Amino acid sequence: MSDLSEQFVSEARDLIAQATDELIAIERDGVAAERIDRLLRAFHTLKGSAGLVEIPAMTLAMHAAEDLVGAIQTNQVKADAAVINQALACLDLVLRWVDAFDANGELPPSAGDEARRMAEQLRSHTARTAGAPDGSAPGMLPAWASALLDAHRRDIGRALGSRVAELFAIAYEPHAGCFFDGDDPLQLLRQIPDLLALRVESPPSVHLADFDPYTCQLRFYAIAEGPRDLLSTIFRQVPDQVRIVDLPSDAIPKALGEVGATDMRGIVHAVIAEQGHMLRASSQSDGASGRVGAAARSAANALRHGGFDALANEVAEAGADALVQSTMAPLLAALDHALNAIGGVMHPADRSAEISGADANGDAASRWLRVPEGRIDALVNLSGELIVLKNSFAHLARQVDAEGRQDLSRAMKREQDAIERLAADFYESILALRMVPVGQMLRPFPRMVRDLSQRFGKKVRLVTRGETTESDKAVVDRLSEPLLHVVRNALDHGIEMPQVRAAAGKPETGSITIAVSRVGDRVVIEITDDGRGIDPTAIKRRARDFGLITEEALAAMSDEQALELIFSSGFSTATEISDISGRGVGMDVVRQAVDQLGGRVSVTSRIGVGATVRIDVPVSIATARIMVVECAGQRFGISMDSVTETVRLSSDRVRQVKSNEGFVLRDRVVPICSLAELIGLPGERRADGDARLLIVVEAGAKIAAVEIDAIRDRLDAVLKPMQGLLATARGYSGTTILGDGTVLLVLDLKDILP
Amino acid sequence: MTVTRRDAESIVLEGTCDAEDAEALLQMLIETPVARLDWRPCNQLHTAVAQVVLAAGPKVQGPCGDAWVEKWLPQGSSDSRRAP
Repeated sequence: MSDLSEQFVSEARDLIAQATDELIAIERDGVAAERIDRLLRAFHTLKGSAGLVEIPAMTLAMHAAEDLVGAIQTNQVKADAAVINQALACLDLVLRWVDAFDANGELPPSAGDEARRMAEQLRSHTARTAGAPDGSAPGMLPAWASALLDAHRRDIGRALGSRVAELFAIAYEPHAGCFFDGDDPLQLLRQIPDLLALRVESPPSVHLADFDPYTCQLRFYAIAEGPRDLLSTIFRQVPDQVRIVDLPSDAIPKALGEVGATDMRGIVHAVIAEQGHMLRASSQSDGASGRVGAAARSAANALRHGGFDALANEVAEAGADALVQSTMAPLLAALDHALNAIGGVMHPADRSAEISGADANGDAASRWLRVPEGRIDALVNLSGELIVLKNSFAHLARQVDAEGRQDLSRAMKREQDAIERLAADFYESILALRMVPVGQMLRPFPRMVRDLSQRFGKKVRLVTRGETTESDKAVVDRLSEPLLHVVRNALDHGIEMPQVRAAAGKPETGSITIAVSRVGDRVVIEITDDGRGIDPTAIKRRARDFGLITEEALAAMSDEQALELIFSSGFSTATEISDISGRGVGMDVVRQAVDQLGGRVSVTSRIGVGATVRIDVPVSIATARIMVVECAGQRFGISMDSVTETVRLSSDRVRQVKSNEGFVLRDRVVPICSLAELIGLPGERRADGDARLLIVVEAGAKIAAVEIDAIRDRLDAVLKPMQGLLATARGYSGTTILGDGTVLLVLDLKDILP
Repeated sequence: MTVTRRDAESIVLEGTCDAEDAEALLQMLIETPVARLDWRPCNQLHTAVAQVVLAAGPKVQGPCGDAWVEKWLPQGSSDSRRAP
């Protein structure tokens, strides 16, 4: 995938998320000018970038969406639930396309039809209020169709006579390269059995010398009799280039006739302005030549499409000059000239586009550099190695010192201190690169809460706090799913139906608060709802029914302890299973995920008042490479950092050194000790003939081979420090949780070597 | 070749004119912009050829042998064609 496409995908995802946020905020808090501005800007930029990577379906849908937002801005359309739903549905569709584009480099074949349907649906909202005063269907007719009808109404009437016919308007805008695909647009049009009117648009003025006979520049607009199926069949190979619109048999619109030209001018203006903004915003970065080419092409296409051929040629030439001269200046100048020349209407979104341009150029603090996660991880690993290397430098300095070269060793120590400081700073700054605001993780929640509350018929307000709190990306990534479970549960089981809340003297609209804060090196997330709370008696009853706990244990259990039962595996309090939560895989998944992060989850509740789930995880998790070994029938983890090598030793190489065993490894005698003995487990003496499995461990000057029974696995794991009574136990680095849920003790071999 | 130059003043389209004929026709129209286009012998016109005719707008000697084109295509202008 090209740089441009990659950039498009990641930007589009961001913009879709932004637009979703704004839509939900508008629905919740009402229309605010700056929100609408931001929303328009997001839609507008999406449209512009779709043009840049040449995804016409997306441009089409985004243009209609932009118009809808424009209508909200000018109070022509009320931002009610239906309108917001429609706009969100549009974003969902576009997100699916972006995903498809990311995966396959192109949109699914159905995209053209989907885009047209979406645009029609979006426009039906603008037409609903702004359209025909009699409120009839003609308000939905596209401008080109009503213009065509207006021009040919009398002739069509004459051709039809007294017949009642099913009429359709067809816009066929062939791709410029369609001849190379073997298309002959006239041949398709010829197949329409009852063609009633045809308008052919060709570029108005052309220098024949510049004319490319193999670029299709014609556009066809037709009115024909149905049936629709027949028409669709004729154009089945070019669905993305054709629109077929039902014409109402009775009323013929007049009002929209004049929109076409200005509308087109607006689109062309917007596309060109966008190219300019993109170029300026990206002026310092790499891949500029690709961007120049794409921008010139998109702008020239748009101009040609709008009938501004001379300007189109000018822009195309300027684009070529820009490439030759390796500067964007000629193209930018040509784009500005084209903008002035088209002049006239300023598309509402251009204002906001300019604001975004100012942002991109002015405020250095808002500049971002996108870096693939893998590269950051590579840096983290490299800096880790640097730390190790730095340690060996210390060792070297001591050696020099021991050889009596004090002057040299002092100098080395001084340098080593400096390197140590630098390496530590380096490591920390690189780890900081992985820190991201948790707000990122909270992104999907407003949408989810909105959709679910609509579905349940509940009224819920979501409040988020502390979105700017930063945490390691790995933590943020792993927390988002558990958090989804908690919020779904709060919405499903916590918040009551509006009438129930009203009867209980609560406000009808419930609230769910996600508050994130940083406490030392921990991130604390509290999800609080003001719903019915969790009834410990019901929890106990359910736990007993499920056989999770015995009667005696229940009797001895405090209410607080009973609440913790919701985190047990297989527990669900939903009396009827909803498809949202209550499948019995809710809160235990949360606990497991949080455990794996080395965190803790707890719940508090007051019946009738609400519940709070508190998740507490380390700000950053360092993963350790672990080897899982078996010894005396038990499994232990050993940090790979301490392992120099593993050796399979035939018994004849084992030497008896005094009372110990040892063997020679590269001219060094390495003592052998059994892991079972080291940690005080009953070990079995093996038969003398057996080969021995040894892990060679070096700790400072000490070297030893630790005998184990088997190596089971190697994995990257997050170490959780030993807690409580075990916190001071020697010989253990911590614990980690294996994929199957079992706890693995990770040994600190350096600590327990004799 | 279904595009031929009869003389300096006229170019003839004959039979089925395919997409490849568009280039040849364009060249001839560039060389002799005043030449008349006789498309009476042509019975099927490809869009690419029609596009050149529309763009160059030569004087035509008709009616076009391709009845559909004669009926529906505006000759040498971008004006719409009325229904019969």
